[in-house]
Amino acid sequence: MANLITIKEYSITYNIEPEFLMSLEESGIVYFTLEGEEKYISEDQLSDLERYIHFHYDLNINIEGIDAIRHLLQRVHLMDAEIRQLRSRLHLHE
Amino acid sequence: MAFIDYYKVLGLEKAASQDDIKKAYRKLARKYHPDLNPNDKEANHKFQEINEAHEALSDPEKRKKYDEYGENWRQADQFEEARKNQGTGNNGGNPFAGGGGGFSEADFGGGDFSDFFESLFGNAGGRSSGRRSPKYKGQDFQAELQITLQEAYTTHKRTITVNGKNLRITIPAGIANGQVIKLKGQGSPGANGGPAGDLFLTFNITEDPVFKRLNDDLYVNKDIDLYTAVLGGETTVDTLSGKVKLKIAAGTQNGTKVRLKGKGFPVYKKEGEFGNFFVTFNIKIPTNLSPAQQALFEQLANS
Repeated sequence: MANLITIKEYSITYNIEPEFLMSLEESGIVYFTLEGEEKYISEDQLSDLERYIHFHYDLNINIEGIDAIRHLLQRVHLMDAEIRQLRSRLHLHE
Repeated sequence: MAFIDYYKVLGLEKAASQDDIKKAYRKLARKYHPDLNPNDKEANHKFQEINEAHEALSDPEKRKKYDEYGENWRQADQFEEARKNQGTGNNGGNPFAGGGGGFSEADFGGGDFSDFFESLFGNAGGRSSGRRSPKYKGQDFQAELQITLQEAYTTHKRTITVNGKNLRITIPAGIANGQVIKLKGQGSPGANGGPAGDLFLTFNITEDPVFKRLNDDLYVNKDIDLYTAVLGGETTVDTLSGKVKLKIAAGTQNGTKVRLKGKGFPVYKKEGEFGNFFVTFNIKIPTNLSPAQQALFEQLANS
């Protein structure tokens, strides 16, 4: 399985508790793939996961905080797109 | 290259404890971390400063060296040399050793430190603790590419250099301003069998002096003379695909907008599909009339 890593392996590599990853999943922040008895992290989750590890272990932000940040960032991205669109419209009248 | 007051950057006194440094760093990093401030270059720059200050002050060896030589960093090497020669070096070992051994280049976040930092601690001064070094998937890269509206109109290839590596990319026609393209695996290499990071390329399309774009539509203003507007006629308009002849109906009002279907911008990744092209007429009122013209207008006005 080239694009999957087990939670156990990932936790060892990053020296973090597997419970942190499980809590992220329980909160619906990330999802894991179940293959037999083992839970795996897919490649498309890796960048987000690394970001959440920064938030938690470097910036001392808890799971609830990460979830709130995630929602706010989604809104920021939508608002960025809207601002770009409004700027283009405004530009038509300049 | 100027001296950087790392204590000031973190808002601390020189007597700050390691715990104070950690707390101050975390508080500021939560405010300026790039992941929490997307597309904010100022915050990104501020975070680098905070990260660098933390890097220098959280490592006791580096902090000692900074406290001792910080403001006189230019003379640091000479001082040390003289001290060694006099046999009065401290017992704790050479503070200029850097102590960064064992960390790969990827740990440094790709040149995130100032010249001042590198001059004092060397460019292998230690690991970057602000952003955890990737231990599995390689670091993602962000880059920006500026292209003109004309370039965005056609699918074309371009070679870009990202972190010293040349990449040949295809830019599809119709790419939007601010659009981000992900180039999978073009970030830094992975570790421990992990995949390489990705490259996120943001396109900035420069504004064109003639054509204005909104989504897939293009807008232009076209001057026409009063006589053509009143009596009707023809004019030629430049589009991005060449010149187009346009009929002007008699009695065309100033600000009239006409639509040329399918003459606008190509629709991204939909070959053969194009937006619309809008032409707004700007009727030029004649000025500097000759006495004869003046008389004719007066005749019209009184008719």
